[in-house]
Amino acid sequence: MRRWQVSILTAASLIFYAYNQADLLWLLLLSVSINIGSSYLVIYGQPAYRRFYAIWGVVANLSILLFFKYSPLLSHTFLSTNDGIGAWLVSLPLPIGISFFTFQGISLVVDTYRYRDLPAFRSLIAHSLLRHAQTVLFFKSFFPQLVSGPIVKAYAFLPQIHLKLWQDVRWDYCFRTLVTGYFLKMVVADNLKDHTVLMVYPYFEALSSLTLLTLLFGYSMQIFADFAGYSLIALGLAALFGYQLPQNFNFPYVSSSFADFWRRWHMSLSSFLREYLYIPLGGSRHGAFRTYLNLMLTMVLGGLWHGAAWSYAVWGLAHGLALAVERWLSDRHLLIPASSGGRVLKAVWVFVYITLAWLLFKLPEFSHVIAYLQAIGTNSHKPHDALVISFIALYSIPVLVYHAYYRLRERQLVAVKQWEFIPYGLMLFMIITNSGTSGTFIYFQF
Amino acid sequence: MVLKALVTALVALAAYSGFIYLFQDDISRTGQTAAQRNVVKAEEYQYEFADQYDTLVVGSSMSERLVMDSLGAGCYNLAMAGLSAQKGLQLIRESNRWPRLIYVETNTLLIPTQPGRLLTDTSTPVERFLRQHLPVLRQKYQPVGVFKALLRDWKYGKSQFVLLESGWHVDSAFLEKAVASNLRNQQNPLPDSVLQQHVQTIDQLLRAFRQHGTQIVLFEMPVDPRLQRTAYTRSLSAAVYQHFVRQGYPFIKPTATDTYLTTDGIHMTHQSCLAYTHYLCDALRVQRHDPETTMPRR
Repeated sequence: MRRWQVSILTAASLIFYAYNQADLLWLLLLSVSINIGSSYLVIYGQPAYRRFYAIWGVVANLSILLFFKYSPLLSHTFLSTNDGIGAWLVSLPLPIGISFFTFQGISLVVDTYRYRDLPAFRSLIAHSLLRHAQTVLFFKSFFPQLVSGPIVKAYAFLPQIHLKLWQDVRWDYCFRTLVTGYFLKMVVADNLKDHTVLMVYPYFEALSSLTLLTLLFGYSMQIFADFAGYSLIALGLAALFGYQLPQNFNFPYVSSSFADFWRRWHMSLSSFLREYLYIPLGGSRHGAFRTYLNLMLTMVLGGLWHGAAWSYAVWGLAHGLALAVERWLSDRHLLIPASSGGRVLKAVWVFVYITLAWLLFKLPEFSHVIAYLQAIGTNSHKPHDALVISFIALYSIPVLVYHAYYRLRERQLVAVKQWEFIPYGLMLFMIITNSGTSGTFIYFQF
Repeated sequence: MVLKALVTALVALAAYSGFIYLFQDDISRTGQTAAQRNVVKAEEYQYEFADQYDTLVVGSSMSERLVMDSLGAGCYNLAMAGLSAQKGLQLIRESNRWPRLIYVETNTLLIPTQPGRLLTDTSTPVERFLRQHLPVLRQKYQPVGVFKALLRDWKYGKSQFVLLESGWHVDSAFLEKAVASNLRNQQNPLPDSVLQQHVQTIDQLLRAFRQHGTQIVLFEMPVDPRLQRTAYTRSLSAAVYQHFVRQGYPFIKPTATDTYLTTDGIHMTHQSCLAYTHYLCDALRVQRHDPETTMPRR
């Protein structure tokens, strides 16, 4: 039975994918086949063509992503969507997890090309094509990370594919991760979701400024709880099978700079963009102007990766601009000094900016974003919705405590290890009794 | 740590179950949001009230606002915000009970709603069994909702309904924007294929109820007159008329729709809702004596 571990997990993962989108399973398999072929040829093909095989693999991966994810956006922008090819392109379904499994495929091809001469990495690409195919199929389809990440890099995951034993499972880690993940998703995010649903045009125009600000704050908490919760669940599930996925969130709302935020938020995406886009573009090696340009370009493409709408590109641009300005100020030593008061001030500024930028996620039409911001400014005379404000404040407390606990632990101000079973027990109790109405993960749409 | 945490959760669950058992009768209206109120309403109907009410109202957020005191003591409002009458009919059907009378809102009768919007859609028979026998697992008894309800009852009194200020007044600037937005959304009629699919589902449901002796009365909620003329609304009304009213289902259509005020073009103010409930009661009374009088003239 042990020798079938990987095969069973692979079959289960494919069933898991097909359960929701059976008609698009072929696309996942096509993507896997491309990566099997190109990575195998990079190592065992003719040495003179290795670069060609790698480029072919990356281009093929990106073509699938562009076709299925961005055709509707391009059609809406450049073609008539009422009939003809425009209408057909708009009707294309968005395969679940395409952004994630495509990036993993690119990681496999690029890592194989980069580390082709390293014996340790070469040994991960089996000489038997069948065995290599099994490995790649498992790497791309492993169910905990298949639909929404974390984005796993080939060099981090392939070495983990070997026999797993019962005693290798870290039960304590699995329990903590799963309970925290389910609590953040089911109790915090799913409850906040039913309140932030009020952020829809034109209904938000009837709300007071304070209610609108609270809703925006609530959405910021919700999107963190939703995605960080999902990532923790993925980590916990993978760990139950003996696999370690990369950490995806590291208390991002304590960040005191935008660069720090992107080292803490969706870490698997930001490290992917850094390694496979920003650094290949030249990173910070070609002068200040090119650095700012590379930052902006990386963030705009990162924004578009989130969704096929121009508002996501603007969201990326807003973050790119913040990173570039921050770097410019830092280069000239104009940033607020790193005193504790200064750090708090910067953390508040970063949080406010990031939260305002989430509006582009919630309201994909620019005119609605402008209307929301205008309403914040003009609706101070309208009556507050005390119930909505109270519930959002209440469900945001766990996220704030989660971040505060991290800061306190970092400074060794709390030492409650012997009592920590109490919060885990209470979180479990709340998962059972106080989960919100079920909703899909926000990042599923990406 | 794992074992201790599990024991803590079990102790908390047992203590809370005891609390719910002791104070069950004092806990009501615990839903925190529209989505949760829907689930609570569905749970209350399935697990508590199904045998107490012989008359039900099914519909959307429009008829959720009907003033139930005016409709009579034996009437339970199963209309749910964000959902349609179809969902309410399915819920009653799943409960395997056959009420004496069902009032069916027609405005949203044929509008497709996303599956899974109601928790009962997605729960398994095992979960339903557990919820029936362990009330602590119901949405109604979520600790945060219970805390809210107890706090509200302590502050305002148990039977006092707290109505939002926005439901009393019409903000004309907002109303115009909301109507304009709805007019944009309702430019096109619902495709025939979608209508036909829902007509079939509703027809089967209504026939099943009729076969078991349940009387069905269709009614339409008034909306802003500008929204009654959209291609979308007209396609829905025509389908309802053709497939149900012509088949002999009693139908109450609002008259003098411009006398009712809405806050957003769709949802009436509290005063207008009260006035319409009275109109509905009168029409029902007339309809019982002479079914032809309230039939719309086309």
